[in-house]
This record gives sequence, structure tokens and C-alpha cells, in this order.
Amino acid sequence: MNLNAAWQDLVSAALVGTDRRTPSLPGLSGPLASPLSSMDVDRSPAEGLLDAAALLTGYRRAGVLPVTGLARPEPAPAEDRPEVPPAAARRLAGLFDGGRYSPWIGESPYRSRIDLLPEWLSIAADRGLRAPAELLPALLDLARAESALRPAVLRVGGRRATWLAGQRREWRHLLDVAANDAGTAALDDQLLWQTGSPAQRAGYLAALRGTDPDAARDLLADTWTREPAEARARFLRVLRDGLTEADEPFCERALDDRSQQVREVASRLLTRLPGSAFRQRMTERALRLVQVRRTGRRVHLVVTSPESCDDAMRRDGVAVKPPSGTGERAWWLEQVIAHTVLDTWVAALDRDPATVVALPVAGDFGAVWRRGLVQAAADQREPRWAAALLDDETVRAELGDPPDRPPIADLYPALPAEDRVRHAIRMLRGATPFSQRLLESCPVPWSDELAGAALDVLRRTAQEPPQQRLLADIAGLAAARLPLHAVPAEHPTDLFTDLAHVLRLRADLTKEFS
Amino acid sequence: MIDRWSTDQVLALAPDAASQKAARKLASPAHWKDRGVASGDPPVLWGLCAGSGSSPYQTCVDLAGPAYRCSCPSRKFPCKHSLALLLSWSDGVVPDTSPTPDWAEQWQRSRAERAATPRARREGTEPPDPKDAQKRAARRASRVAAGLAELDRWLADQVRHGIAGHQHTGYGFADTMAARLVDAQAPTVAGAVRRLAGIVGDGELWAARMLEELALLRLLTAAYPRIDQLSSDLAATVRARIGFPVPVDEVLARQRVRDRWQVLSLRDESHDQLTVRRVWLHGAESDRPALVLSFAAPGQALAVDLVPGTAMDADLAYYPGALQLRAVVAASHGPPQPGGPVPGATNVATALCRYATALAAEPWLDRWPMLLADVTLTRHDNRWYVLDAAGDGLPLRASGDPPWRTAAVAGGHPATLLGEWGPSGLRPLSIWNGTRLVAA
Repeated sequence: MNLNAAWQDLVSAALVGTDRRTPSLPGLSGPLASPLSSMDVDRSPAEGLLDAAALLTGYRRAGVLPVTGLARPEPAPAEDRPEVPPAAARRLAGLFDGGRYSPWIGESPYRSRIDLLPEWLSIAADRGLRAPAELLPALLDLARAESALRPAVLRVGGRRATWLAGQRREWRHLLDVAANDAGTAALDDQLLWQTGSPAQRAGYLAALRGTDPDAARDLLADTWTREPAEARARFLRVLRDGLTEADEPFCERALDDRSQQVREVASRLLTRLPGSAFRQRMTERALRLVQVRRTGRRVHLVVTSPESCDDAMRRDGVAVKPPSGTGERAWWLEQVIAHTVLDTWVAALDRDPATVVALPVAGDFGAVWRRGLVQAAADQREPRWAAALLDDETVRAELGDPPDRPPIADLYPALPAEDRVRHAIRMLRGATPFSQRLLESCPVPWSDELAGAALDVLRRTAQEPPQQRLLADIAGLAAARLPLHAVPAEHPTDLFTDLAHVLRLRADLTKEFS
Repeated sequence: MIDRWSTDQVLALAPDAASQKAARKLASPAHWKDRGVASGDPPVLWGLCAGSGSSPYQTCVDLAGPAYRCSCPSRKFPCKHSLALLLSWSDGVVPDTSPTPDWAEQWQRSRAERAATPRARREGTEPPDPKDAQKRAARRASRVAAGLAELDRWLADQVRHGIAGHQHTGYGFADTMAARLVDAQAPTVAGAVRRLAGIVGDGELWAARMLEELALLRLLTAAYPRIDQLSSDLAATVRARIGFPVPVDEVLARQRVRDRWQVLSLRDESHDQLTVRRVWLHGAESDRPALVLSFAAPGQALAVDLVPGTAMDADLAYYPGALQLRAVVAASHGPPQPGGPVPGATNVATALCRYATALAAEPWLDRWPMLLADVTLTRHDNRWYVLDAAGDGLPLRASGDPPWRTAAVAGGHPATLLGEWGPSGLRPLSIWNGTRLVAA
């Protein structure tokens, strides 16, 4: 009987119990033979079994042999960026302490320390530095949960992050982002277009579009009919960059696509293309529906809705079925306006955007007309129109509450930065309902005037407690966005104590990079 | 002048979140009548904090300790005043020019004297009556003997009735026995008995693991009645495994080992209500491992004087035992220095050989430090291994989190790694990344 068999015998007996099965320890040779034979398994089987097991346990543990025949992994490539300074590395580790949602100290405006991470990552990225390797698993986990942080994590994670992500299934899809981000580097690998994931392929296409726009479109045309609808829409969107007249025939064909989603993308692309036939068609439709009337010196608009949604309209991206609660004719009208180039109105009505928006509208469709304009301004990223619409009292009254919903919230990114700040300040002073998205869209760090307005609200609201929610929202945004020198000198409430503490931390965090 | 600590370092000393918050509020200058830094040895922060009483609280912090004293009635330690004082200092707003008041100077002197006095003299103010002590020891010995005799019968019962049944009875089958052992003043073996429940059903080989542990407990119950016949070292090991306390004075009175001790790893574990900090050291000259343990009940702060990646010239005193592993720092000769690369790492074959030798001295050994040179982390059939230059591998523990952090640091390249080797595999503790030591 060899050693393993003897051990198995003991384990089996222990499992069912010596009452039912007596272990036999016969015929072991070697150094264990004599001590084992002295154990009285027969007279007291349980004690004898335990004593024998103790001896074998020590023997087996001491005799463990190395495992052989293991393969070595593919090592990670050498890094080309220096690591962040030690103090910054310690800070990063500290941000992860206690887990992702561990509360900050007390009732701070921050949800958790991790909220400081975007700032840390952006400083590291700006300086061309990389995070220490031991924190990469935590960073990759975070990147899985927060897609907005992915590009920054992969950039700051260096080559090691890409290598590491490749080792684990849960992290591997993050590499799609890396492929997208790598841009032209991806062009070296033509196989990527044939065999990559949709994100990798979109990344490849975008890279090619950057160097040779026509080649990218032709490449897409080659496989167009074989792509699923989802992919067609995604790849078509890539053509938005570097869009020229040469793309018009392809986009026109895409208007005949089976998928409403693809038609929608195609119509947006064509709206952006000056002189396109699509633009012409939409403009004609729109001008038929919107007319100027003069009565004496007064001017107003007469807006009517389309009688039907014909095939031509449908082909041009107008969806037939309205969302619930909207009449179908109003819905068609809104879409026609939304797909019409806004400059049309400046030319046709011979007025600047603000005046066009303010013109009185006869009939029932005034609100629909304005809603269409808002959508158009958001889609076409027209700063002048976005500003004019947001400045208009009627528009704000109709669409501005709640202010964080589309389409009005989509206007904020279209506004020039200084207008966003202006609107945010006006909002903080109480003129318009509070919009988190508007405040979020202001350039960081906040200007002194904006910071002052935010701190005023906090001071004012802190003394009239019912506005707790608002207080927390503003404080939460302010903590990450106030300029560092805005540390309030006096701390009238706990909130200010906390705010000052967070700003001090941010100042430390920045200093630690130098 | 001592380096200022960061805000986070200070807040880490707080016993709970409420203290952190209270301290941040108190850090504002408005609350303090006077504050200052008394340079010297040890450097001391002091401050007068206006509290609810008529006279301000006197708060002192010894920055070398750190140690705290405050005249407030709070039972939290350190109190919010001490923390607030530290916070202000870390922000750089405590002036170092204010004249130090008498009370602060006095405390500073007492701290300096204390540092110069050997610990033994400090703690045992009056030598206990040897007769009383003997009586107490005899009482404990007989309780332990009774407890272990009961354990011996219990162990035999397990094997007699079969351990397969525990898969259905589940957790807690050993709790009553463990509680009896606590009553019998045998806390360490009680802990080992309580942990048996965790083995049940854990992996295919759980029955074998369970038999191993039962057998090793039987080895202990068989050894204790014969303890007088064992060598004094082995007897000390048996007593330690049962849970007889060893007074620190006794340890400090033993022979000391002076060396350049490198701090290799620090890991906190919680057992019941207690946090245990395990710090592995390695002697550069003696090539010896040492384990320094510290304990903290909830709300208490753990010792912070041993920082992985540093090294210090110090005297260590080992606890008695057949295998001397646990130690205390008896005296240090100078402040900690950056540790640098770790010498004394070996290949897998040598490490296993040393483990076998250690196991021969102490059969209950469950965690043995292995400092491995040029090992690569690799995966095979969903199990992780370290692989040395000769192609010898060791499995990592199957339970526990996958070693992604270690894998990230190593990047698939060979590296020096410290791990604890035990019956279920290797647990990585720290890894040398080429410039510094990183916790695994």
C-alpha cells in the first residue's frame, strides 16, 4: 500500500466514521512504517486514526513537490511614459480606499472619494504620465462601470493596462475603446476591419476616414448590404467627420434603407451637407408649411401641418408614428422643422434668429414650431440659434420645466461656452428652474462669476433649509468644479466646511503632480 | 523638524467617521485659544481648545509616537481635539513660534523619559506576589487540561461518527466546543476549533483538509498531558498553540537579534471583534524571518511604526518556541530607512526545503513566509501559480481573490515575491516591482 492510498483510506474511514469502517494501515514500508505500526488502530480506532493522520499530514505537507510543466505568460511590453510622482500615486491609492461607494467624510458634497478621480486622471493624462501598475485592476474595474472614464483610464494606464485587460474576460471589451482611441495606429491592422468587434471596426473606419475620406466610404460601401442594421447606423455615423458632397450619393442611398435608425442617421448627415438635394427637399416642405403674414406693420407666422406623411417624407427620415400624447400631424411638422437647415429661416424671413423665434404664430402649431426649432438647433449645433431659443421667454415657458429633459437640455452643449456660463449664472440667481445639465456643461474650472453665484446660492439656501436637494446638487457639482482659489474663507455651515475641505484636497492633489 | 502628515494620514488615526467629522469642524482657528509646536525630542503639538466647560482643554500630541493626551472627558482615542490639532498642523496653520506652556513642556519631558525607560520597568509597577502567581498558574493549567481532555474526546467522536454528516449540519457544529475551550482559558486552540466549520464543503478535498486539522488538534491534545517531558522550546510551542499568554517582559528578557530588518509586508485580518495586524520582517544579515503581530479592539488604532518597504537597524526578541517566528521590536537604533531591494530570496526548491525543516520543528505551522526570487505569475486551468527560473511552480491558494494586483505589477515578468505558504497554497503578500515593494 503506498502513501496516498493509505491517506485515502484514512479519509474514507473518517468520512463515514470508524463505527462503520475501520481503517487498515497494512504494509507501509519506509520511514513511516514503524511509527504507524505502533498506533493502536484496532483497540481505539478513532484515536488511532487521528494519530496516524497527524503523522501522515506532517509527512505529506513536508514532502510537497514543485509543480512542473507550467507555461510562462506573454510578458507586457515596456512602458514609454514615466510613472506619476510617488505622492500622486499615494493619492490615487487613497481614492480607492474603502471601496467605490464608501461615503466621504460626514455629509460632504461628494458621494465618495472616487469623485476626485476624473480630475486626477486628466492631470496625469495632460502630463503624459502613467498610473502605478498595482492600481490598474481597480482602475479597470472602475472603467467597466463608468464608460466616460474609459479612454482616460486606458491612456493613463499605459501599455500595462492594455496588456492586463487582455488577460481577463471582464476587462477585455475595454480594449475596443483602446482600438477606437488609438486612431491611426489601428490602420496598421487591416484585419481589424474584417474580424474586429463592431467598436474596433468603427475605430478602424474612423481612422481611415481621417486619412482618406473617400476610401473609408468605399470600404463601407463594399460590405454595406451584409452589415446588420445596428452596425450600418453606427458606421454611417462615422462619415459625419469629413463629410463632403462626394458622400451625398451614398447617403441618399442610405435613405432607402430598411431600418428607420439608418434613415435617421442618413437624414442628419444630409442636413449637414450644404447644397444637398435632401436639404432642398426639406426646405421646400418647410417653406410650404410656414408662411409670413403682414397686417399693417405687424408681422406674424402662419404655421400649418402636413396633410399626410407621404413616401418621400418617410424616405427623408420622417417617422410616421408619433410618440404617445402627440398628434401625428403635429409630429410630422415637428420633424420637418427639425430636419430643415436653420439658416433657411434667416434667409426666407430676412430676420436674425432671435427675431424669428419671437415672431408670433397664428394657429395651433406655435409650440410645435418652436419645439422643432429647438430640436434643429440641438442637432445642427447652431450656437446662435441655441442662444436665441434659450433666451426666448415663450420657449422657456413651454419647454423649460423640467429643464433637464430633451429637447431643451440638448441645447446646452450647442451654446457657446460663455453663453452657457451666462445662462447658468442667470439660473443660479433664480431666474430659471435649476438644471443640473446646464451647470455640468459649464467649462471647468468655473469662472469667478459663476463660482460666486453658486456660493451665493449655497449661502442663501443653507439658511432656508427646505431646499436640501438643490443644495446637495449644487454643492456636489461645485466641489469638483470651483476654481481652487475660490475656497470660501468663512464657513457659515457644515456644508462650507466640507466644501473647503474638498477644495483643499483638490489643491493637494494637483500639487502632488509637481 | 518632522515632516508634516497629510490630511488623510491624520484622518486614518480617527477611531470612527464621527470623530473625523467632529475633528474637521474643530480644526477651525476659532476654536483654539492658542496652539504651537514644541520642537525637541519628541516633537510635541499642543493646543488650548475651548470646550463646553469653563476652562479650555489642554491637548498634546507626541508626533514621534504618535501618542496623545487631552484633558477632555472623551473616551474615544485619540479624541477629536487631538485629531483637530493634527489636522491644523497638517494644513500648516499651527505656528511653531508660540512659546510652549509649562503643561505641554512637562508632558514632553515625561514622554522623553518614558522613551528612555525600558518597557519592563514601566509596566510592572509592583512585582506580583509569586505565591499568588503560582496559584493562578496552577488553576489555569488544570482548567486547560480539563478543556483539552474534553476536546480530545470530541475529536475522537467526530471521527467515530464520521465527518460526512457535517455537510448537512453545516456551520457552527464546532461552536459549542470552541466556547468550552474559551471558558477553559485556551483561546488559541478555541479559534482553531471554530475555524473548522469553514472547511466543511469547501472544495472537493474538504474532507482531507478536515481530517488534517482534526489530526493536528489531536496532536495538541496528546502533547499537552506530556508537556513536562517535552523540550522547553517545544513545550513553549504547545503552550502558544493552546493560548497561554507570554508576557512581553519575558520576551524582551530573551536574547535579542540585532540586524537590518526589512519590513516586507503588512496585512490586517479581523478575527471576531479583534483586528490583527501581521507584519513580516526579514533580517538582512541573519537571513531570518520574523512576524510582528499587533492587536486592536474596535475603535482602537493599530500600531503604525512598521512600514513595508522600509528597513531599520533594530533589536528583535523572538517569542520562545521550537520554531521561532513571532517577535517584538525590542529596541531600534535609528529611524527607518528606505528598504531597497530585498536580499535572501530563493528559488522554489530551496523555499520548500526550508518549509519542510520548519514544519519538522513545528508540525502545526500553517503559514510560513517564502521569499521567492525571479518568479513569474502564470495561470493554468484556472489556477494561478508562481513559476521560478528553474521551471518549478507553486500553486496559489484556490480560495481568496484572484491575484490581479500582483499580476498587474509583475506584468508577466519575473519578480521577487513574498508569500505565505500553507497547506492550501501560496498567498502573495508583496512584490518587488523593480524600484519598490508593493502590497499584493
